[in-house]
Amino acid sequence: MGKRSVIPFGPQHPVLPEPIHLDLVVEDEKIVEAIPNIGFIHRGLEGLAPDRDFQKYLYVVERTCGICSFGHGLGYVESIEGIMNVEVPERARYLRVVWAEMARMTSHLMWLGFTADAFGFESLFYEAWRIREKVLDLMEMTTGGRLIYSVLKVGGVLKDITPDMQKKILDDLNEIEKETREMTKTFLDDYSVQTRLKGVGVLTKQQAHDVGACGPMARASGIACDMRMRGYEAYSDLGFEPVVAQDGDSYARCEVRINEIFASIELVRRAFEHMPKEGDLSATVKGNPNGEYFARIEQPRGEAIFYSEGHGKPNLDRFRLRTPTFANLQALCETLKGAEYADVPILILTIDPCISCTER
Amino acid sequence: MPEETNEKKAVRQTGSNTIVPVKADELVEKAVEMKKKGLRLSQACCSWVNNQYEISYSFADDQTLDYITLRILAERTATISSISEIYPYAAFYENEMEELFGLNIRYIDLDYHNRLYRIKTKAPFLPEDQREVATDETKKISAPDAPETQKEDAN
Amino acid sequence: MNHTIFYAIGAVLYIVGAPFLGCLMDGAERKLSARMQGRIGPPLLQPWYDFVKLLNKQVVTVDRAQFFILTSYLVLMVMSGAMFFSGNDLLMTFFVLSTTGTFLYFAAIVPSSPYSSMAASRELIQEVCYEPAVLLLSVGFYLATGTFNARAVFSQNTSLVVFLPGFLASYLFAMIIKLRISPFDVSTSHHAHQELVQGVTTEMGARNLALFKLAEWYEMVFLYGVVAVFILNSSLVSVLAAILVDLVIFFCFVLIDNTNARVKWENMLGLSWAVTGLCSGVNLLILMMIR
Repeated sequence: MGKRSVIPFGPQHPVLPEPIHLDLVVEDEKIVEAIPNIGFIHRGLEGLAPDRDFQKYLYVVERTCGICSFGHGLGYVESIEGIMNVEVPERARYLRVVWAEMARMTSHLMWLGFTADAFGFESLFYEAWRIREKVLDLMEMTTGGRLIYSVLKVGGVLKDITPDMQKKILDDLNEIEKETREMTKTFLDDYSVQTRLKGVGVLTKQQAHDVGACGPMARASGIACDMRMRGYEAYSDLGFEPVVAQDGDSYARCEVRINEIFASIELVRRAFEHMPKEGDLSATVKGNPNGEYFARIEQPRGEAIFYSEGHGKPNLDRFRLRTPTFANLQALCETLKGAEYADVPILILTIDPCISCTER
Repeated sequence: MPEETNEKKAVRQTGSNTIVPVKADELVEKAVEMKKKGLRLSQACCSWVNNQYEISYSFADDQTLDYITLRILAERTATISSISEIYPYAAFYENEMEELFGLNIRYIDLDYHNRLYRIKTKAPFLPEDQREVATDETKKISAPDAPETQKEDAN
Repeated sequence: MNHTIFYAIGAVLYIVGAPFLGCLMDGAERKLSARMQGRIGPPLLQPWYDFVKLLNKQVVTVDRAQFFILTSYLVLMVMSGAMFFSGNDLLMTFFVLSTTGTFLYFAAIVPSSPYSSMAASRELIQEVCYEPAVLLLSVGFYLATGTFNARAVFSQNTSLVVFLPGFLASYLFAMIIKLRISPFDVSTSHHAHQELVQGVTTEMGARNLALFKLAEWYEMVFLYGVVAVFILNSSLVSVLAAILVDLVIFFCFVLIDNTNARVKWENMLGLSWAVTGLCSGVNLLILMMIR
């Protein structure tokens, strides 16, 4: 038996995008156990729900996290609309899909950059983020914000996409698709990248199910589960198929996220095709929520659950947000067992950690 | 509290969304049932409404996209048995419920003893008058109590 | 007699001039790297500004022994470079260079930090990776010229690269490891984005880090100088050729740095031994057969 030591990983570490603490019990560069410790960004956002008007609380929910901000807003308005039985107009539903998919693209491109940085390939990191800038420019053009959009409201959306903007988006997306294909070839075909990703952190299908993984983490192990198959918003009309891989290692997760970028581009194109040319942007919402509802949407990181409970007052009684990284933390600890120390940053990044979401 | 299926919403969505009331002592049995059916524990949360806890354990079926939530109503001093022996990853959710709401859960597999978030105030999501209520099995809480809370309760 | 003074001047020039040359090369590397990545990059003299800033920082070392160890590291590095540039025994020069590695190991172990301790082990493995290449280089040199003294190049009529191509190839491979360039920046790198934070230099700050940087500059000049051994011969034109070859290699290394991810130490060990075994080994056999 070799020498055992406990290496503290985080909360400050150059390779981590957000603070999380892991106590890694290491034996000769092999990890025996990983004990996670969170709580560095806990802000108690859920506790603000009884103190805010349910329409204004949307802004708090959106700011749970900068990367998944649109998804949070979407889930929240869905849960309120579920309680109050609001029928969102068709054009608004398609607009929501467009923005959600573009937010997904920015999230995955950002993830690709972080992963490249983690295995020491800085130029690939810059390339991924350069492409991401283009998508962010599109978001700014249509919503006015790059990370936090605030275009949602209970019952619909606040802004519209004009035909000029639509044309620009579709043209830019062609360019973005071409550049992304070139860049992702390096991820999938380069030899040094493959030595860092292939066979690292394997999670079999059974393990992924036992550990409660969701999102790309589960899909890379062969579980074909994606909340968009439920057909919320306009997804039921867009012929969506989940992106799945079979190997369950970091390479497969990289593959899944890369293919999801292309799937998102396709979804945006289809959404623009099917979108009614004119229509209301929102439905009027009267009264206060009375009831409860569980809304489930697919964030870039996996399944996110939004539970709202109200009893006729303008303030909700309880709002609960269960983010995908909270569920994937256990999957992380599972993949870390038996891993080499050099793989720790890659493994932490393959679950696509968004600790601000996890801790709210 | 209305506990009905949400089919009233103009459904274009696949998969049901039901809330099933259960008693506190049936929880573990139901959890085993869910595990046998191959469902995944999706989330667990609780809220404090009408002077009692409303605890929800939600299970998701990844094939049919159904969503089943077990709903338990419990008193402030009640004790719930953890399902972390059946679903190991339930431990995180239960630790959170314990820390934020002061809910008494026993037999959690990986127990953080109220140090998951290391919040200074005990049970911050409960209204202030409820925080200091003694429980039947008072668990040793290692986080120090905020002096302000103690002063207020003395009044 | 003239030649001795000539070689003594070589050593003095190295001791005095290498920091400046090394600093310029470091700056040029960063600028070139940035341009390859589509950025503008820091000013050319940035490494100098960083060095001066480090010297002015408050000293908060974990263990004072680190200063002494790093000073020894610097002195040995300067010594090995000076030995080389004064045309001395090649084998001896490389052995002194290996000793510097031991001092770096101790400098990293002394603060008892988990990151630098693990990186120190990796540093030793790195040494094991490039040692065969440089030692075989000395052997090949002996077989080609009949002596271990580096000054023998000036009496050669043809550049040694004609006889020692395989040795040059494996030496260049070893240089990538020694210069801490991706894909082989396993024990420490110029960017603090690896899992061991900044590897062996994690716990070095202020004065100690300045010493390390200075030693890195001396090392860089020395390593590029060894390449010249292959190109120089008795004619004067070869000096220009040597400088040109060094510039080309410099550019190629920056390119390799930007197009590769960092590999794990197992891969580095396997690859470096495979390349050394193949290139140097075959070259060695051929040389021995020719004799």
